[in-house]
Amino acid sequence: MVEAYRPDTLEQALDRLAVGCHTLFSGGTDLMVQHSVRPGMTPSFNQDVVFVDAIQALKHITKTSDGADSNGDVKTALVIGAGVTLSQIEKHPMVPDVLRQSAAKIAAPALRNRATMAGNICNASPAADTLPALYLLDARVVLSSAQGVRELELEDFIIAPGRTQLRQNEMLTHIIIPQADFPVTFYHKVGTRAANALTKLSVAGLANVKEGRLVDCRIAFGAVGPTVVRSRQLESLFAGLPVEQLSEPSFIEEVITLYGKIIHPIDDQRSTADYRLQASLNLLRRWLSQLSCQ
Amino acid sequence: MKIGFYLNDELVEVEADPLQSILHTLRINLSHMATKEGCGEGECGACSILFNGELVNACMMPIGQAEGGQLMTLEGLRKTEKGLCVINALLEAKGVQCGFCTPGMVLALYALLEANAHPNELEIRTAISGNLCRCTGYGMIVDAAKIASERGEGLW
Repeated sequence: MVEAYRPDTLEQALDRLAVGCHTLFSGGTDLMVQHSVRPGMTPSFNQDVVFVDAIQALKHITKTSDGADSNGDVKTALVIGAGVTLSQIEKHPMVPDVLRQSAAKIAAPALRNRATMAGNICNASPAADTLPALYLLDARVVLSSAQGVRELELEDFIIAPGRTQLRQNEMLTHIIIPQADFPVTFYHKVGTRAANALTKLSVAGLANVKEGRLVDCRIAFGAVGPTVVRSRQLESLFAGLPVEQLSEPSFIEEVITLYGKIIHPIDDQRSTADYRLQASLNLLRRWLSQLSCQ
Repeated sequence: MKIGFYLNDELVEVEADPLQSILHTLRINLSHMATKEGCGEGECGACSILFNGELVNACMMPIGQAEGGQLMTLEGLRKTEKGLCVINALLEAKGVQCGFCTPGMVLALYALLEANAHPNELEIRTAISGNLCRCTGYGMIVDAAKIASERGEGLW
């Protein structure tokens, strides 16, 4: 039988992680299902379990300074502790709208009361619902071990389905979201039903429009590739464009063709590659048309 | 491993594998049978209980995480005025047929009304979105939430 340990502080948790192999367990809403044996039996874990849900220091959402911009003005960032649940994210006024919307679409209230965003990230599922929003927001992750702390871009942290840069002795302790001004938000998740459905595909968008021109426009697609699809190169096509151009048929077709070339979904039990591609591009059209009215 | 927690306001201690689900602990170790096992993977809500006042799926939460916490099940809730208010509203709206989902529904509706005394239709449907009922349909259960909100005026 494996051992379970439930530390109150991060230091205790990291000390435990320093020796041997462990399974980090926060909300456990994926782990309990992944390790289930059959009804009525205790789930079977093959490594000692470290419960991290009692670490109060990781349950906060705070604001912090985050360097300075090109004008020398101090920038801020939102720091979300690894113990913060999806319910807290969904309801927190400081969390960007696109992230709140994506958290609110995950499963149902009882699950969101336990599941954490850190868990959603570390699970690194291609269909993880918070990832498209976090990619758009240029989120970073803080990884701590008894040896020290390192920070990675979320995009670099996630390598492949189920695989991240997290080392055996490390724990993801915080998610950092740089402050950004995106008044226009798009989020659409396609699932079999409104609640408790895993994602067939999702599309997230963020934009900043000033005096009729796009200052910044970002688009990400979830569940249509091994990791989230976001192209800064294609996004640069939008910079400085007047929003009316987004309703020009020739421009729309050009954008759709370009995005069609970088979206490579697969067939699986939830959907087909053809449907995922078509629906992704249809939602992209919807986002462009919504933006053109700004 | 010895694990202590409050079950319906009473301190209890069980000897159990900390990775065993709360659901299993309630039904097998403590013979509290109101909480039902449906899907066993967090999709149906039949095992909904309150942990420290928040709705959770007892099938997906290990008992080791309940150490020092407060669990509330239908057995405890039915002894309270608010719990009875929800139960009576479900009966009045005929929101119960086979009854298997009902303990979870009562807990979900209670959690909703505790947070929001006057929920609208969308808020009610969102609150029970993780609780599946295959008999009555959701219309009568949504009605029950409205009745409990009205009848319990001042209570919530």
